[in-house]
Amino acid sequence: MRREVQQEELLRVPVHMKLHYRFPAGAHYERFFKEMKETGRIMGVRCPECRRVLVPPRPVCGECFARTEEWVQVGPKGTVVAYTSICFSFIDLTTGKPRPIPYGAGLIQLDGAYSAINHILEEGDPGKLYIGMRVEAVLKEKREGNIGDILYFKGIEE
Amino acid sequence: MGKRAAIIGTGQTNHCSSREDVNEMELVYEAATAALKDAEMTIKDIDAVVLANMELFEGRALPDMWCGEGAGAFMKHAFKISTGGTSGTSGAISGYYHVASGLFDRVMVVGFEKHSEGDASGGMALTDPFWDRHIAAAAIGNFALSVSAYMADRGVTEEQSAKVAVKARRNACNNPHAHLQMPDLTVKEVLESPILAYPVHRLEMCPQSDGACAIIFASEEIAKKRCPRPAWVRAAVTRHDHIYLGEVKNRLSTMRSLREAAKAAYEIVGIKEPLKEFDVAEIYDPLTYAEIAWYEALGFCKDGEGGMLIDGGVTQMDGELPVNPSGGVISTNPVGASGTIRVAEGALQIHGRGGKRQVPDVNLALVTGYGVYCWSDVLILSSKPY
Amino acid sequence: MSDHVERMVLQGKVDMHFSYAAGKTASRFFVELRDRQRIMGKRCPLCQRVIVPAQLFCKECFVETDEWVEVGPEGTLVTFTVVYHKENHHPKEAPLAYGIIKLDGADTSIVHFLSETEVTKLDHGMRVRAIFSEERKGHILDIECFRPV
Repeated sequence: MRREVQQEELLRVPVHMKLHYRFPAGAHYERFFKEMKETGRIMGVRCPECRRVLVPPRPVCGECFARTEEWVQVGPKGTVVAYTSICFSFIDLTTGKPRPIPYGAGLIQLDGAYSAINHILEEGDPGKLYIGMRVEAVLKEKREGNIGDILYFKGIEE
Repeated sequence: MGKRAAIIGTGQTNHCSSREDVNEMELVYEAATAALKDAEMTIKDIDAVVLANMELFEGRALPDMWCGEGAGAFMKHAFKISTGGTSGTSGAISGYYHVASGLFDRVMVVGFEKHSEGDASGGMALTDPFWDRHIAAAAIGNFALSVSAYMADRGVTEEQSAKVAVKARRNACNNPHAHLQMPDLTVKEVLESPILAYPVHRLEMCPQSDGACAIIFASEEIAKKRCPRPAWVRAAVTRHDHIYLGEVKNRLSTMRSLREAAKAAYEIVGIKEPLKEFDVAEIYDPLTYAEIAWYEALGFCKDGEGGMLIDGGVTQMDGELPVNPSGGVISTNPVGASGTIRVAEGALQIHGRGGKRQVPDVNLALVTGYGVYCWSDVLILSSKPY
Repeated sequence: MSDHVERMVLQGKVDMHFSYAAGKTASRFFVELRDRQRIMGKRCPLCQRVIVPAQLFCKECFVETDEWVEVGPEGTLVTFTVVYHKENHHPKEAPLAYGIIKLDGADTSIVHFLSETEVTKLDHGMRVRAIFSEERKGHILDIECFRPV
């Protein structure tokens, strides 16, 4: 695709970047993760103006710019509102290694919540996934207080 | 209302998967000098410089420090804009604001990206560390999520999607700068290409390119003096939606940010029937399904009729409203430059300098940008200042 | 702000690989270092400055440089520092000395390591000479350091 053939030697300079960060969770995220770790409950917050229940919980409703203070339990059951099956290999930045593929991913609207959450689906075959599919969160036995405490969402019969 | 401003020159590098012969600053220099030549200016004529780039893709914390001098920013007023995919259009909007404010007369905007140097999927995955980083599969995965919902919602078919890919890669053959030029591509080949993330095939997705694009904005007096047919900026609107993917309902179907931005821009210019009134559109199509969804969001048709526009050839080069004569982002995608290229291509059509991709008699051009989960920019360019 | 007690903190880690194209001008600069142990600059046709390391274009005049010029290997130490604190991202163990060196024949200066880490033995304006690495790979570290002469 290049216009001219380059005769001279062209060099590249490799750089390996390993960086560490620390992200303070803040009060809202902290409560969400603690609640999930200690009781296994998934919590959202309700906006006092538009009444939407936001999960993950945020201190401010993006639409109304109002402070959210009312906590509401949501899920653990929910509905798939969008799904995909990831088939291309890519580097998981947190490990520096390729993430195992294929895997199912979806947006899951938890019962009682307005917003959906982005998470992994147990079912990776797109032929078996559908919009409106009912699913339930499967939690880790030993929870650590991060989003990985939800292992994935599995399909359920109702 | 700001002062009148127009685009009087544009310049692009040749875009491809890897430009080994230049480093990133030299890539920027190539586009900047091309735009100066097009506008018949020298760097001394430029008052201010705006840079647009996705810094994490190449691991450059301060791309303006690495590359600013390539855009002639030395001892000049200079800014960097970084808003994901919209960086290029937001950079252009910033360039326009500089001139419209009356504080600057000649402003150069350069968008650039060297995908070959880093890990774009990795860079895209550096989203919120609490929720998405461990789950999301970058741009492709996040898009695929909204595609399945969009198909279910509107009944858009795989064949309609593939037709967008065919149109884009064929149009790209008329654009000497385009990355993916595929004159003989067929719907069948698109649908037989590997699935990256269900239901998105490789040939339905944009490539990752190395490239840069520069645009020169000028005040009314200078534009009239220096350019036989300036591309006047009639409207420039940007809208940001929620940043958490789960909070945007049926992203492709609703595309609230693009609908709101288009509505505001159409109001400024008085556009009632976009399909009839615009002569050309350069819209930011990161994948085929998005182009169909944008037809609906931009009001080219009713919701649910986007697929019929592509079936009916309405957006082909010889259709009622040619969309992306350049080949679009599906054919060329140096992200920080992708939006800038849309603006440059829109201006080029008004300048009448489009070469083989020129649409006849362009007076009104629509340009859009798309970024992150769902941020949108809309610009309207015109051959007339008012 | 003192009443704010930070509690939950997420540890984030990023591990990424990059590969930067040197481009034709810097590639030639590196090849000269590697194969001939020569340090090359390029002259700007307008302002006549010899820019080192060689650059495709003059950033002040915004025109392409045209003439290749060999500079150094001796030069003058413009300024220097010795870094005593340790950090993971430092390229060398502390104490780490580096400076800005104006090579003979050049109009711009380069940043590089100094072999001398004793502050009292370094001085502004002192003469230094490039020491080339035994094993050269086409990289700026093909110059190992600058040594006082």
